[in-house]
Formats: sequence, C-alpha cells, structure tokens
Amino acid sequence: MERRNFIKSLTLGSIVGALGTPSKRLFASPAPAAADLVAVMGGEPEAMYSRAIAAMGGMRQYVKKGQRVVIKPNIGWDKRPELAANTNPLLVAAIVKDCLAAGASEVGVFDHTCDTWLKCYKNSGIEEAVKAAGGKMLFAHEERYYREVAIPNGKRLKSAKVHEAILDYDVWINVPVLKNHNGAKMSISMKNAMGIVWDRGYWHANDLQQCIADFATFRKRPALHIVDAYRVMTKNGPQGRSVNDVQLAKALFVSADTVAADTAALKFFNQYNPKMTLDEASHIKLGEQMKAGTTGIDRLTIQRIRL
Amino acid sequence: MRAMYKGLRYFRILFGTLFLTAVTLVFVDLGGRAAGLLQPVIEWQFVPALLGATSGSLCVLLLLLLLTLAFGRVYCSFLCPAGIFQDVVTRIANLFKSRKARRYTYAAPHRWLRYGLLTATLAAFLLGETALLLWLDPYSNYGRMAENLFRAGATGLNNVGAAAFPDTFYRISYKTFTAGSIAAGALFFSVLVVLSAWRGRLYCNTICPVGSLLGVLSKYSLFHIGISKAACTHCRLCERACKAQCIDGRTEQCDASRCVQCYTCTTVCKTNAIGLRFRYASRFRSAAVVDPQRRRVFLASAGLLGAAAAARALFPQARRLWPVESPKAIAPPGAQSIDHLKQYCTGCHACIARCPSKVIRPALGEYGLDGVMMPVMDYRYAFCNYTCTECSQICPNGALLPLTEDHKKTTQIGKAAFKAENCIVLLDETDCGACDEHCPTKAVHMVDFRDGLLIPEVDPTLCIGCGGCEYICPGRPDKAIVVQANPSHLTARLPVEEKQETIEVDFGF
Repeated sequence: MERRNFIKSLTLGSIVGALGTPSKRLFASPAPAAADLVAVMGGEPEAMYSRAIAAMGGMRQYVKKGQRVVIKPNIGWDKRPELAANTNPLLVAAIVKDCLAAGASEVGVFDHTCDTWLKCYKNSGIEEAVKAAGGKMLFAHEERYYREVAIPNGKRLKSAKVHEAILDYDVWINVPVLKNHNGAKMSISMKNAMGIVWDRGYWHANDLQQCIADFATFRKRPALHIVDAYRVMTKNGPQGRSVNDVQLAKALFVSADTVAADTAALKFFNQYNPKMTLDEASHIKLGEQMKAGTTGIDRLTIQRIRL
Repeated sequence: MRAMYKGLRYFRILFGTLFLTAVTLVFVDLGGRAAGLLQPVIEWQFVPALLGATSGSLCVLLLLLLLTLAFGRVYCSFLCPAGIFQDVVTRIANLFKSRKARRYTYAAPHRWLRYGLLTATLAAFLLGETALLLWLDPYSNYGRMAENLFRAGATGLNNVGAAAFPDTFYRISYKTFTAGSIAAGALFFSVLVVLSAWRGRLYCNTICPVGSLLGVLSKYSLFHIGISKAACTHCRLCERACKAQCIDGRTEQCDASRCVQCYTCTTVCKTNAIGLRFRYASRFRSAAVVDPQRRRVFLASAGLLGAAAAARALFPQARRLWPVESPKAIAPPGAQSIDHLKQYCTGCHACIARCPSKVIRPALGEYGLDGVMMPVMDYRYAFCNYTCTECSQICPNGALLPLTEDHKKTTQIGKAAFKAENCIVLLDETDCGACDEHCPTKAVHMVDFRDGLLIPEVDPTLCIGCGGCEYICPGRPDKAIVVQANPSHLTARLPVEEKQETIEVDFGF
C-alpha cells in the first residue's frame, strides 16, 4: 500500500510539476531577458532607447495588453532640457509610445516636483512630449494624491506616503536622469524613487542614505529602471546652475535591478568625477545590504551597445 | 431723449458688468491663464494710476481726470469694481424690498466726514504712508475681497470638481489663504453689502476718498445732470430713483459731487426735465449758493494738507511712523525696499493672487501696523521660483516694479543665515543637503564636514533670499537655515561660471 501511494503521489506530483512549470513561465513572470543590464552609448535618446529595450527583450516582456503603466521621470525642477536637471523629454516620449505599442491601455506620467509643479511640467518639456506621445500627466502636487504604505523591511524608513498611481497602476517604470546630488551624492534610480513619496523631509531628517536604501525594498518594484544619461549634470546637482554643469554624454542604462542600474551609471559617472565612488554614494551599497539588488555587475549578463 | 438715456443706462450696466467680471477674474483666475490677458483692467483703477504715475501710468491718470472733468464721476459707475459690485447688491436687495422701501430720498451731504477722510488720506500719502488709502481705496478693498473670499470660493468649487473628475481638475490647497486677510476681505464685503442694500451708494459718498476727490472735480465737469425748471413737475420720481441720494426734488438740484452718473434718473422722468447738461451754458447756470460750512471744510483740509506737505519737506527721513526691525519682513522682488512698498502699495493682493508658488502672503505684523495686508514672503509653505517675475509684472501701483528674468536672478530680497546647531548633519551625522538641493545660485553649497559627510555653507554675496533652503530644511522645531530680510533690496553677485571641458568617456565598467 505504501509503495502504491508513493508511486501515485510521485506520478501526480510529476504531472502537476510538468503542468505547473510552463504555466508559471508563461503567466506569472516574464521570460528571462536577453540581458540583466544594457548600456548604450553614442546615439540620440530615442535611438538608444529602442536598441536598449530590444536588448532587454522588448517592452512586451514588461507591459501586457490592457495594463495601465505609470512612468516616473525626474521632473523635479523648473529647468529647460539642456540643463539636464530633469529626464530628457524625448526619452520619456519614446517610452510612452513604446508602452502604448505594447498594448498598454493607459500611460500616466508624474513627479512630486521640488519647484512649482505646473512650471516644472511645462518647462521640462515633458508635459508636451508626453501628451503628444499619447500619454497623460498625472497630478502629484497635493498630499491627497498619496497613500500611506508600510516598508516592512526598512531600517529607518518604516512607512511612506506613496503616489496612488504607483499603487493602483499595473506597471511602473522608473526613468531617472543621471546627475550629481549634493545631498545624496548621486541621483540615479534609487534616488529618483524618492519622487513618488510625499513626505521627503522625513528622509532628510532620518539618515537620507539609509532611507533611500530602505525605500528600494518597497514591495511594488519598478518593472524597469531606464537611466537617462544623454546629458549628465556633473556638478552643482541636483538643480544645477547653468549649462556649464552639464556634459553631453549620450548614454543610456537599463536594468530591472535598481542597485545594478545605479552601480553601472555611477561607474560611468566616475569618469567625469573620479572622486565619486560606491562608498561616496552610500545608498547604493546600503541598497545591496537591504537585498534590493546587486552592486556586483560583473557577475551579470551585460550588453554594451555602441551606436 | 428718453430712449437715448435708456440706451446710455443699458450701456453702463453692460459695460460695468463686463468690467467687474474682468477685474474679478484677475483675482480669481485659478489656473493663471486669464490674469495676463485681463491685467489691463486693473491698470484703469484710479488709485493705482495715481500711485503709479511716476512709473508709467501717468497717461491713464490724466485720462481718468479728463474723463471726470468732462462727464463727472463716470469712473464710479463704469470702472470702479466696488461701485459696480454695490449696484449688483442694491439690485439683489431690491428683490426683497417692498416698492415703498425701494424708494430713495435726498440726503444731506456729510461734508466733514467725506472731506475729513479724503484730507487725512492725502495727508498720510504726502507723509509717505499708504496705510489709510489701503483701508479706504475701493479698488484695493475689492481686490482683497475678491482674492480672499471669491478665490477661496472658486477654490472650493474647483476642489468639488476635482473630486468628481480627478483626471481633469487638480486640487488646489487652501493653505494659501490666511485668516487675517480673509477677515479683512469679509469686513469690507459686509460693509459694502450692508451700506449698499440699505442706502445705495452711501460708501461712495461718505467714506470713499476716490469718490470724494472725483466729486470735487465733478463740480466743474463740462457735463452734469441738471433739471430744467420749466419742464419739472416736482413729481420727484428722479429723487426716488437716485441711489446716490443726491437729487433734491424740492430745490431742483443734483449734487454733482455725489452723482455717480448712473443715468437712472434720466430714464424715469416723464417730462424729460432731467438729463445731461452742459455746465457752462448760461441757460442752465444756477446762482452760486455760498455755504459757510463748505468754506470751513475747505480751509481745514487745505491747512492739514499744507502741514503734511511741509512736514514731509522738512523731515524727509522721519516719515516712517512704525520703523520695521523684523527679519521676517521680506518684501517681494520688485519692491525695492520696505519704504518703497509702504509708499506705493495699497494691498490689493493682485500679486498674491498671481504668484504661481503662493509664497507671497498678506502681512500681519511683519511690516508694522502701517504695513498690514501688504505682500510679504512667507517661506513656511513655499519658496520663490528662481526665474519667475509675475508679481512684479502685475502690480498696477508700481509698488512692485517690473523685473526682467536676469534682473530677478540677482535681486537680493534677503540673505540666508545658517545655524549649524540645528543642522541634521551636525546633530545626527547623516547626509542631508536639502538646502543645497533647493539653492538655485549655489549660495548655499556643501563643504567637507567629517568622514565623507558634507555640511552647508552660505555665501551671502550669491544669495537672493528666495527661501528655497528655509522652506525645505527638515530641522525641527527650529530650522537650520533661515532667510533674514533686506529692508532695502540689494544686488547679489552673479555666479562665476567655469566653462567645463568636454570629457571623452567610455562605458566605465
């Protein structure tokens, strides 16, 4: 009897396992991307993006038909695109179009800005670009657009008020601009996520670097981090003062791992400022300690593309 | 004739309604779209034109004076928002009154009150104080009323819309309103509503200094409302219809100094006895009646004004009645100095309504008693946008003089002062840099502290006092960086830009 039962359960188990494995692969998680990290150099924002997303397996890997997508660029400042304080509007528009082409039912874009929000949306060029691409700008200037969430794995940051679109939409895509930041040292994908939160003063007052790392453990993770390094603000960040703070770098980094994306972008940035290391921008290493990703990008599959 | 007068009256009602709507929209415009377009309507206000005469509105002032010298107080019925608003109230109040209660009767003028207030206002103005004008000027009061009451109402409506259609309408915070200025707006609103519902244009003919001043000129206007003795039947229909209560049916006189040119009387007369007359035609000239009271009022006023002018000339430095020491008395860019502000601002709140970041708020005690309701920078909820010059563009008084973007970027309205003892970096030994982050000029910048930590440092020569650092500083209960007012605005140094060489890079990993 025992042996028969054993064989029965073994057979049943195998059948379930055999059915279960492909079903899991088909529906629960996307097929593995062609690369863990893609770096592109030498092109215009749209061209670099289309090569990068293709190397990552195409937007259909990340956005399914009918899903609602929210894109979070950096729109923090009332600055023109040339000043590189905000994400490049051409890149944001390209992502919006791509999401819609992948079947997204709706693409929303927002940032909790530092300068007056209407001026930021307008003068960054992002509002116009997004609307032309078929997306819509979401409001994020008032506390009531945010909802309290728990950060159970956070060390210093145990809860935060997060924008409702991040919580309610199916997919979110993080689109930071690579820049120097005199508070957090660097502003890349982990720091950009701070813009989906209402009360940022708390972070500044409670170990900024740790809070940034803590927030990277928030359960709802971006499907992709697309780091805009077309223009790079190398000093006086995050706001910058003039075009003299900006280098035309023509680069783009994409990964689903926020720590890996930031590590790669930081190593790239290091060529402009040799003093800027992983030890300096300590939230990146803290992010790894919080198990939000890996700084060991050498062990990842990297695709380097030159246009 | 009656048809013409009826046409004139309808034209007045139509024009006045449109003008009142336009002025109101300047203050209530929530999205900031209409204000720029409609702004010229507030430049046609008498007190702004008078105060701004030295900064570009002299032509408007002369035109308004000529208009009054030609047709009397048409300003009060066509261009004054508070005047037109009272007509609206009167009309609504009449719906609730019996026919009998709607009738007006002639009232004797309150000369001492009218000219006393006018003289006091002018004397204070000569002494360099707009404080009295601020509380009496109909335009400025209407502005405050519209900014604080109507805009609050519109904000409420907008937010109902935002709740119903969250994708289309965005929510607007009520934090931009202050209790003090809502009270000031509500006070004027109550006074106007009560007085106009009770006795028509009583405010305009007893309290309003603009009404009194234009009234003096109207006594000599080319055209005025006159009654033909031959045609008048003494039915007193005109007197009953006169909301200015300035027609005396018994003596067949219309007091030109109080007549606001509403033309209602001319449309009710059955015999065409009352109408516009050319004052200097001998046919209608009435014998001058010398009233001893008039002479006394005139002499007293002239004496007071003379004394004020003499005082101003003798003690030009001593005109500040309440000297200001408050470091919080930060005047908006374009104000030049607190002195300049107090000399020209009448607290209409057009700048407050226009400010996109809502960093400008009505002052309570910051500037002293004579600066209550004048605009002051408040960095608790917002800070001044680096490239924005909108407040300086809208001010009709010349209290805030227009700034170009380049000029604004070096206009130092105050200086940031760093108090290390409240700073997170020193207290907790963790990174912060929120102040540096918000500093557009890098007057606030981070310098090495210890163990890789950076701490802010201020270069006051670069600081323009925008308040970004103070607003964002997370230090509690006391902020670690606070802007201190420049009583006279200064010019900040333009940052020296180091040209950055293009660096050739590779992937780097």
